[in-house]
Amino acid sequence: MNETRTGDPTSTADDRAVAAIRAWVAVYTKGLPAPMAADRQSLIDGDLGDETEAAEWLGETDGLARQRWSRWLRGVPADITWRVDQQRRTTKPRRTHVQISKGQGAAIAVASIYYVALLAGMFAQPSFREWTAMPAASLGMGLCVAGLLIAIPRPRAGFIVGMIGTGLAFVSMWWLYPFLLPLPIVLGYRLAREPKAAPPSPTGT
Amino acid sequence: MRRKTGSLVPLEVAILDALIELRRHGTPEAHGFLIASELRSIGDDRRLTAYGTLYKALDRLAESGAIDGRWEDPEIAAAEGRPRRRYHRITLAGEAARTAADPIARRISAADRGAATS
Repeated sequence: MNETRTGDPTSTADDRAVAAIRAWVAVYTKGLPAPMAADRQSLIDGDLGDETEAAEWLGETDGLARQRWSRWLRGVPADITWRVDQQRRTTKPRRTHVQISKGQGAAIAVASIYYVALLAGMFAQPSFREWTAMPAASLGMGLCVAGLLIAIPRPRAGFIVGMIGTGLAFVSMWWLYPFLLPLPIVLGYRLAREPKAAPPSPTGT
Repeated sequence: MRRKTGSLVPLEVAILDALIELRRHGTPEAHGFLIASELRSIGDDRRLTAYGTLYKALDRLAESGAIDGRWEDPEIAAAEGRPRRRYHRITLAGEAARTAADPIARRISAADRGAATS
């Protein structure tokens, strides 16, 4: 594109605009199926080519770069919403149904409240706040709460995060261990009751 | 807020008008830039429609069946030394949607139907 106008002082500004627009198309089509991204790039390339041709024919190349920047910037919100729409169509539907029993839900809720209360209690004590290990212990207990919440939709991921948090809190303040026991129990219970994936069909269908 | 299914936004109505106008002047199908130029000439805005806005609207119209699109033969584009174009043409469903979107046209159409049945 713009080969016919090389040497023209306006072509450098226009080349920059074209390069920016093409780069933007590459950004907002990244991760979409290749044919869809290629089609979008071709659409914009075609438009840019026709826009150049029309400007040259009308002798209005001076304002071409400005026109392109304007068309690009005004269209950015539409590009983003288009991308979101395409992404929604091409990705697998999210798992929306969370399988959790009342007992598991109650255990996770109680444990979460317990850890938040424990952390708040520690922060309320000036002697605790002065401990150098307090930030690491707080982070560990924060991860415990995060693990409990993650375990509601994703038991395995929640268990991992929770156990990292427990480990961090234990290493920071080892004598906390009796207070850290509820998490492995609750998340282990949640993990053990996770519904098993259906075995593959013997026919492979 | 989500749009009502089948309803047209003003830009989509304007695109259908542009395609009808171009067809009337002997261009049955048009590429994106030509549509943007036609929109500028028939509308109030002196600026060309933004790339993102135009192609998103064309996508929506194609999905609803109001327009048909086809890619130009790559050999033609190569022979002319430019990127290939995508051409759009209004369909019968598009013409019906355009009529339904216009309150005046809808009233005339209803009056015609009334006259025909009486």
